[in-house]
Amino acid sequence: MRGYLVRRLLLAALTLFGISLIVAGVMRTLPGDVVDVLAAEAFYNDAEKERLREELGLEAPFLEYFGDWLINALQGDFGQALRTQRSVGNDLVNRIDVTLELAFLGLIIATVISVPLGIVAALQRSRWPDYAARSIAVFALAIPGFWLATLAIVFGAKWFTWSPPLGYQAIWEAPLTNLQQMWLPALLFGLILAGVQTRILRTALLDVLRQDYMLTARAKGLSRLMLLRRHALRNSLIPFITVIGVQFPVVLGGSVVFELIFALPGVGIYLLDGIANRDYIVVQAVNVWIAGAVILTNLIVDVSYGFLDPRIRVSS
Amino acid sequence: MASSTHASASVAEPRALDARRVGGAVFRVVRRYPFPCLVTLVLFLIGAGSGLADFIAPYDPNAINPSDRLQGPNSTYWMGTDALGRDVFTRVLYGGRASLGVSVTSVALGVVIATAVGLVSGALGGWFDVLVQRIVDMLMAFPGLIIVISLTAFFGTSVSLLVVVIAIALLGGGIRISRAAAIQVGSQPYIEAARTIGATTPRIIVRHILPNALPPIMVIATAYLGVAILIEASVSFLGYGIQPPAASWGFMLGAEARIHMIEQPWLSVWPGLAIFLTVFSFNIIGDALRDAFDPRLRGSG
Repeated sequence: MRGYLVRRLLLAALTLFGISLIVAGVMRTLPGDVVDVLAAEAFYNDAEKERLREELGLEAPFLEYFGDWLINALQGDFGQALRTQRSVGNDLVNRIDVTLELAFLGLIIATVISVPLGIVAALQRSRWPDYAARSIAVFALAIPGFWLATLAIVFGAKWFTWSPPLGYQAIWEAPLTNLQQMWLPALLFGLILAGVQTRILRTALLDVLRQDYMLTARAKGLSRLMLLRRHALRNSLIPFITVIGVQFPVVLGGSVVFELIFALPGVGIYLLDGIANRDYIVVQAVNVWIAGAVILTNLIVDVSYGFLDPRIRVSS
Repeated sequence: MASSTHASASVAEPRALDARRVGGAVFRVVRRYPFPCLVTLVLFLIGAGSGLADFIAPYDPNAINPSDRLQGPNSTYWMGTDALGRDVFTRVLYGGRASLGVSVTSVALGVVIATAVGLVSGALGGWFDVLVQRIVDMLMAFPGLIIVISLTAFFGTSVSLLVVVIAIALLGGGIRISRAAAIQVGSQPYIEAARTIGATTPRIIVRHILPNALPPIMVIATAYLGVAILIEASVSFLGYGIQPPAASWGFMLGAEARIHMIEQPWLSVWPGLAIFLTVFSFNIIGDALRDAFDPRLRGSG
């Protein structure tokens, strides 16, 4: 288990290093005169232009620039935003909670929806509850998140004269105001995410229900409820946890449009602003952060396998 | 020349002529899989409507007509009009052409590259495989939408760039699937047999592994068509995809249109419905293909 942990950690670090290198490399492929183009588009003054040249490392050799960036990044310094002159690291820390709250609420709601649906679908296989659950899942898979959110806003305003409250408040400052703003985006996000989760949970449960030990347990007189709780659900946890790991990048990507539509000042909006301002320092930092978050989640998921399933703990 | 034409015609003729047998086969497929067939028909209609937009569309997609602006569906404008008085039905058709064109091209590009890399990586193993796996790890760490909007920020917005960037977003998963298929096929006895009689590795990959690994790759390609439509729509929605005045489903739901949606809610309905129906159809066909290729999984999704 410890060797496995160390290997996984090293691999995650290597991947993140490679990602930083590639993101920095992409910045480098910008043609040399890009600063002039940008300056004209974004109305940079000469001092800003000079700083952009320096921050993009256009004058230093690539490895020197990348080394500097990496050492600063490891100390939490991701440079200064070109437009706002603010520390990108601080900005990200101030915004990450919004995105994470939306992601977690969304995942929790998705789980609350998908667990009963998945169980019912697997237990009632090929009967109408199964078809109903699967139809809901397939619908959820195909609905674009931004469309659902747009419909909610348009018809909320039309029929209920409701519109999302403006002026975001953090959850530890004003929990009630915060939840008033968060419940709808989180609910819609959760509905969308529930599609994949229901399908995976159903498949995982069907796999377990098919096993010989289920028949044995039933034969020795275990009630169906007990069977489900003690054997089936526990054994289908691994694929289910895997989905949450696999879904995390989707969650972070989807968060961008929900933040935009519901005016939530998260990392997604920060990225969009960075792109609109052509602020490469911001775009670079956000990409590395998001990739880092995904890698960290996958690491946690992989390690949690060992805790959930003793067989994995022993064999690795 | 003449004889070869004749020969191929005579081979094709007996089947083509027996309309009753063809009809019977079609009937049996439709009866056995009614829903996937219905969905295929829907997809065919959307595809044909978009592809033939030049002939079908009742209006010019960019014709501005301020006096008819923001109408609901009526007999003149079947889906109503937008803020500039453009016909929404026409724009949905042209938008479909953009969305389907971009996603089909990017999936083709992404899946072909992913298949080549994944199969070689799975079949060869060794350092190349290790390298590919590390690259896949990196690709998988970026959410598709984030890659696409970030790269358009660097390199600007153009349709060909959008295609390439969406293809890149699909690469990681595609390589993973085709590599797994190659490893699974590679452990079969007939691969060993081919190797024993002296077949070279390239030949084994092309002649034996590729055809046997195709089913899972086709399933993922179909699913990716839906994913690509969603990515393209989201990117265009954010304003970094297909550029106006060209119509696209995503942009029709975007910031500019949203201002007018309270006044004319129908504007928010049609493009989204088109995206939903298309993605839904691709997903259902993907599920049906998976069931057909691998009966063990039947009904397991």
